[in-house]
Amino acid sequence: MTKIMIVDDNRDIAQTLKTIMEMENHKTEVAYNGEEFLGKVDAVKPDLVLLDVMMPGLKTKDILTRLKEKGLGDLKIMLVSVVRFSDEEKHILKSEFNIKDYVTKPFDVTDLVNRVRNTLR
Amino acid sequence: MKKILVVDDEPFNVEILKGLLSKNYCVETAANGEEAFTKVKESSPDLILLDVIMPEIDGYEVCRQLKSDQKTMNIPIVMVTCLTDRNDRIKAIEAGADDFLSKPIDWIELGARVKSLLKIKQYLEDLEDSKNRYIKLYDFAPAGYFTFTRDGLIREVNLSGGVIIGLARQELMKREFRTFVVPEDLELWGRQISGALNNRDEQSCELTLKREDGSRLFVRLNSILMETKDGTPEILTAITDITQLKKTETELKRADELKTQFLSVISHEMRTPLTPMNAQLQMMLAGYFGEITEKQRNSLEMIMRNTGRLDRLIGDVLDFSKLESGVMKFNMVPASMNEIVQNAVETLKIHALNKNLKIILKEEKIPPITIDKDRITQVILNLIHNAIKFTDAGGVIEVELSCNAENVTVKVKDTGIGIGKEDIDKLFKPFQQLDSSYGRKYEGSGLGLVICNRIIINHGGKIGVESEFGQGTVFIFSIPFIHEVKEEKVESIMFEDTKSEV
Repeated sequence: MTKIMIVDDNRDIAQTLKTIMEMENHKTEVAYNGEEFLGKVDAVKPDLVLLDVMMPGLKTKDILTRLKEKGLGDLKIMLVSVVRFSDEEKHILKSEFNIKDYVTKPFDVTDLVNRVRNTLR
Repeated sequence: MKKILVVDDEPFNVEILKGLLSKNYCVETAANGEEAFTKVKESSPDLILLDVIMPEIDGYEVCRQLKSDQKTMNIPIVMVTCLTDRNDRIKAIEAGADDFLSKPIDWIELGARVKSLLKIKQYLEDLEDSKNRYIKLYDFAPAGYFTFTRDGLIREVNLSGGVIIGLARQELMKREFRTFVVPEDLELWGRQISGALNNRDEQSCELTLKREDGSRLFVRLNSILMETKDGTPEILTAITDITQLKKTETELKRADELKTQFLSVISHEMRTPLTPMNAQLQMMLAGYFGEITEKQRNSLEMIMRNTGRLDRLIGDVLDFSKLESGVMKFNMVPASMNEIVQNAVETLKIHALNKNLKIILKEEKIPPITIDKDRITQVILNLIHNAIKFTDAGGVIEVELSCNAENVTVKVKDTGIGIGKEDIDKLFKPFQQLDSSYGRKYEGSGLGLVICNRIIINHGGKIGVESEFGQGTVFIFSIPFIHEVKEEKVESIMFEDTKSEV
């Protein structure tokens, strides 16, 4: 069974994502900020992380950098953001942090599910 | 009527002169020196005809006294006498007389001399008057007026100039102006002076002055080169205090930035609660939580439609604030306009059909063009969406795509309610939905066309409208194949992300 880690400071969004992922028969683990995520990630060993952008505390870039330092640079990550990224940013995210896909909020559930399936494949 | 005073101790002479002059002038008379002084004081005449030989005080003395008094020195005096000696004439001139007439008086000559002296007096008065007026204007002008030598010494300054520096005018004379300029702006001052000396054009700059009391003043200098009569260059400079202006400008800029920031933060914050609402509704409608009845479905769909509308409104506000502050990101890539227009028409076909509207696409093959695909799609969708919104059932919407060597043109034509002439100008201004007078209510933020306009401008293009009330509307935009992309400020959320703790 695949394990998905959900990181979002908004509890309702985290809960919603958890419900959707469980409906898809994935095991889930939730963290509410960057520190908590970094603390748990080694033990959880997720197959995919749904990571919110613009959480209080650690910046997204810092979270991704520390993940890389932990030797988890290959971890599959999808960014879930309320803002759309420019091509330039997407390029940096792909080349530096291996991030291949994004979901913008508010998201379409079917679209999200398809993207998760594709990323896990 | 000009006043002439005739001073003569001989009543007969007085009568003759009076007779000659009273046709054109108001004539007063005095029989001796004393009386002359009194009359001058009382009626301030414009000219005096003064007999030389009189008992007690003679004419020369009367003349001398009148010419040495500030109040009467400008009254022209004509000495009248039967003495014809050269020395007498010299004596008269030395006493300050303006002219000289010999008895017996030639009345034509008298008339001519009087006339010409009165004319000169009038000129002098006018000159004095305009000099006074100039001094008042100079001193009470709202700007400081300085005249500098080529070395930057103050040669002349008006009252306001003194106020600007905080010193009395006399204390400013011959001072070096550079001593009132803050050190960091001395170079600017130097350039201002050399610029004025080397160019015939007006030079201007803005710099900070340190006043006599140590306080600082932000001023604008406008200088121009002038030459004195002897050819010495001098620099006339108007100095305006713009401290308040600068302060207001900074505050205004800051307020505008805050507004944009506020709009941006609030839009993002509003999208966050919409996210779980929207997702939960989709899950319910998809049957994630079990079967739902037809009535429940209708109710949930209504909520969905409205969260969708709310999301679009937030999107409009966000786009608007980004475009206003110039942080909108444009992803310029080569794209097919045919594909974009076809997709847009396809997307909105259902809406048109639901309203019983016909939608027609006329297109020619367009070469690839470098644009932000999403933003141009947004513009076309917006225009078609408007056409659908403002056209009643049975109408036709025509989308036309064409190009020439320079531009691609898109026309969206409807058979809708149209727009009145007076409203056309409002179309591209923010928050100006043309509502009630149209007899129906249409939803929307009133920002759609403003955003379209900005997006098209950012592509180097133009958007316009042709419409007549009740006759339908055509929106046309064209964008050039080649245009310089402006470097936009890019606000990276990835690397600058911040969020207030809520």
